[in-house]
Amino acid sequence: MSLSRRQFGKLAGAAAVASTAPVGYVRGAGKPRVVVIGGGAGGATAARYIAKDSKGAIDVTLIEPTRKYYTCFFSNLYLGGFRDLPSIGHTYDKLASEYGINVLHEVATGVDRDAKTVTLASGNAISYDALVVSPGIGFKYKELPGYSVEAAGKMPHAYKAGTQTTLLKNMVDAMPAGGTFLMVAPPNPYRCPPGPYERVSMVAHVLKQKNPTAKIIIVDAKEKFSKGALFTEGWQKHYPGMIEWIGVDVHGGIKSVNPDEMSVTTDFDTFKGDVVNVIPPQRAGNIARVAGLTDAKGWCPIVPGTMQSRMDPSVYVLGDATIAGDMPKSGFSANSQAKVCAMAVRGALTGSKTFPARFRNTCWSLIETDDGVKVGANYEATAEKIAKTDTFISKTGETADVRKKTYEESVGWYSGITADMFG
Amino acid sequence: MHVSLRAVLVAAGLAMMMASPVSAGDPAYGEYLSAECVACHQKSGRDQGIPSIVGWDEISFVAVMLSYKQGGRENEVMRNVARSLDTEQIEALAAYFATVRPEQ
Repeated sequence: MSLSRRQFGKLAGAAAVASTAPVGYVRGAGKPRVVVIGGGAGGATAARYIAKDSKGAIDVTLIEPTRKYYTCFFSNLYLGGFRDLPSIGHTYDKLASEYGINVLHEVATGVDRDAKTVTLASGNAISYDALVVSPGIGFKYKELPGYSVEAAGKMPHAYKAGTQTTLLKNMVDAMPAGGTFLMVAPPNPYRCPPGPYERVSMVAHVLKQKNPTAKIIIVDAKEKFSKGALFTEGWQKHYPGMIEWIGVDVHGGIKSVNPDEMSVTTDFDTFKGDVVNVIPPQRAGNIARVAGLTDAKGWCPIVPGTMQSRMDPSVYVLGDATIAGDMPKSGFSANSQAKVCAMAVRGALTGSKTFPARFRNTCWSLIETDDGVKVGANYEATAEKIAKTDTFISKTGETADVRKKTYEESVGWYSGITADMFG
Repeated sequence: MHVSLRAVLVAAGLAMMMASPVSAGDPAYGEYLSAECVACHQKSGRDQGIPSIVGWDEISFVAVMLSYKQGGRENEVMRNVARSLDTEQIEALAAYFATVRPEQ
């Protein structure tokens, strides 16, 4: 980037050093203060853009528990052996040192929206003029009897990347010859609509080489799924006879899971697996509910043009936690929404010029080596919702060359979006 | 200005070779719009899997985007992006990215 950023980075250096000190000290007295909860595709991007584009005029604090953040996007490629774990891990060092963001590796436990403060697990409180909440997903354990935080040790969800992903990968690698990989796929809405099916593709890719008589069964809470025609075609082509998908119209509904039996019970039958990957029903991350930003279904209503919470104009919500109209829950969507939010926050706090919101999403999925597919759309903010305006999707029967280019494009996108998030 | 520029581009494949910059676009507006581009195209100019778009001359940039918009160049993501941008916005992006130098 330009000289001005380096100069800014130098100026911000003192603040970055101070970020390891206890909270409560005075930083940039008199400056408007933004607190961002959550350092994923929404939060990290928002923090970076607010800090970068305000050129030091806004004091930005990012609260994220993990020091190394593993992206959920591309974690399936780690399961498939196409990436190693370090390649999907990122730190917040540049956001602190180059952008002057005060990065606190803490858990936000409460928000007092009247006092405009965020409470941290350490007991400290931090005040804000604008709050950005980008907490990702939480799980509705009660809607899947038998599943719990403990059960996830035996039946990993691997739907928040990191140790859960490694656990699932180790289980797949250790699966007995001819064994069964059983997946419970979640009801809508959930993070990354094609994610479960890309995951099945990646597991099949591993089993085809190491354990070719193994089977994969997907017990799905839905009647159909994202990129269904593309995945179905790819599975028949690359993994014939290995994968069986069972929709809710056949099994009648998922009733419970049993981690001791490694089984999943539906209206129709009980399924058993040697490895069971349970992706449970979802809601917005905990802090969104604690802060009173969620609706009865557990997701956050937002104002389409700004990403402000419908509950509080000083609070903005991003990414998977939101009800973003036609936009899917994806890292790309969260990154796109974060830029709209950053512009709106700067406009509100410093009076900087704002432009009409622009949203876009693209989701790439890998089916087998060099066989990538994609789906995407443009969106616009209407009074009612973020509405889809122009869409595309890969076609069945595309040439190997097109599919290879699509995969290469996804690799380029990964580098691009992570640079856009973490600097 | 917009009409004549487009006429030049549509008429001649020579556009790619023309080096002299034009100044139709507003680089400040382009910088705002560029936030969408850099989700994939890195501002540093690094280009694994997705081409670099920094430091191009403006005429080439506009020509390529109009080709996507009109369905000439193939890439569904870029056609989609280009269809969402009007000529003023494409020119603003061209003006902005022309000012960005690749990091080495």
